[in-house]
Amino acid sequence: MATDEQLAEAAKRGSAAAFDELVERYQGRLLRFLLGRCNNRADAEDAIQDTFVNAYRYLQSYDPRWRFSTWLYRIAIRNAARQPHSSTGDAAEPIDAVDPLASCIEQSERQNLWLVAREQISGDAYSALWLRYAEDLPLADVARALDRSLAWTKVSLMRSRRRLAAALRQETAAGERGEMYGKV
Amino acid sequence: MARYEDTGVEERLRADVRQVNAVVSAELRSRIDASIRAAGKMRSLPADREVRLPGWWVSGLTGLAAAALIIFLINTNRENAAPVVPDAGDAIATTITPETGERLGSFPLNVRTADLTSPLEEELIHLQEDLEKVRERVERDLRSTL
Repeated sequence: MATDEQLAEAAKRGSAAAFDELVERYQGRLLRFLLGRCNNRADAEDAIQDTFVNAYRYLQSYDPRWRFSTWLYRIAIRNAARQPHSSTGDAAEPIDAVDPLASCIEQSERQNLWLVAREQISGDAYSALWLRYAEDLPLADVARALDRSLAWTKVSLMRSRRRLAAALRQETAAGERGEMYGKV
Repeated sequence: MARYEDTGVEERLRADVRQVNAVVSAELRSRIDASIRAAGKMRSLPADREVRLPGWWVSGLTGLAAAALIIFLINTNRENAAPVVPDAGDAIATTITPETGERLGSFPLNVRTADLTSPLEEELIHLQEDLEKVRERVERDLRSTL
């Protein structure tokens, strides 16, 4: 099975099938990421469309020394920021009544931590968290995709983890209180 | 302690991402494919080549256009203007004998009207020569480029 980088090289040489395969591999992953970055599904869909079109148009500028996913996510992050209702972490900016990310998450007893992250963490920090823990990209690739320094990326991830850890503690405490009241 | 909490967060994030099921609809996929096809058609056009025209090529074309415009204007003006046919009176008036008050000392001023037709024609010939030179240069450069 060809790697992403091999497919990208083939697409560079004009293989439409190779690029089609890349779209097939990344469409779901990109949509999951963009649903967390945009405030509604329509913006996320516009962003994913623009991402693949820009990737195709500027394929010649892709440097195979880097992962294809890093390059593609970099384009996606830029396109997400260009959307009219992009999630910038600004509390004043209204989010649609139906959270596009929440609508794709299965209901469970405990809250999905990515929804907490979306509420509490700003745009680029959220992207860093997603690329590191959802996409398992190395730190250097995360920094490159965000066009940030390695130091910024490390600090951002550390702060995000701390905030989420605090949220988890609150969740645990609330659960324990609920159990206690339930017993009484 | 903090590190332990961090690890818990990392594990939870990795676990929770598996619950996010974003499905790309057939409609979205067809939109993506259509835009890529459109971008492909645009990419196949030789737009890059046109954008990267060398400076001398552009300046040559500009010069050619400017010279053509000047020649066009001159020719248009000549066609519109009534032909100048000097009559006998004009021929006599070409030599003007100044009045007494206009005399400077003992030297009379003999003034002749300027005949502008000849210099304009010369100018036109020069412009046509320049135009021909530019045209030849552009043709030569085009041959060497393409």
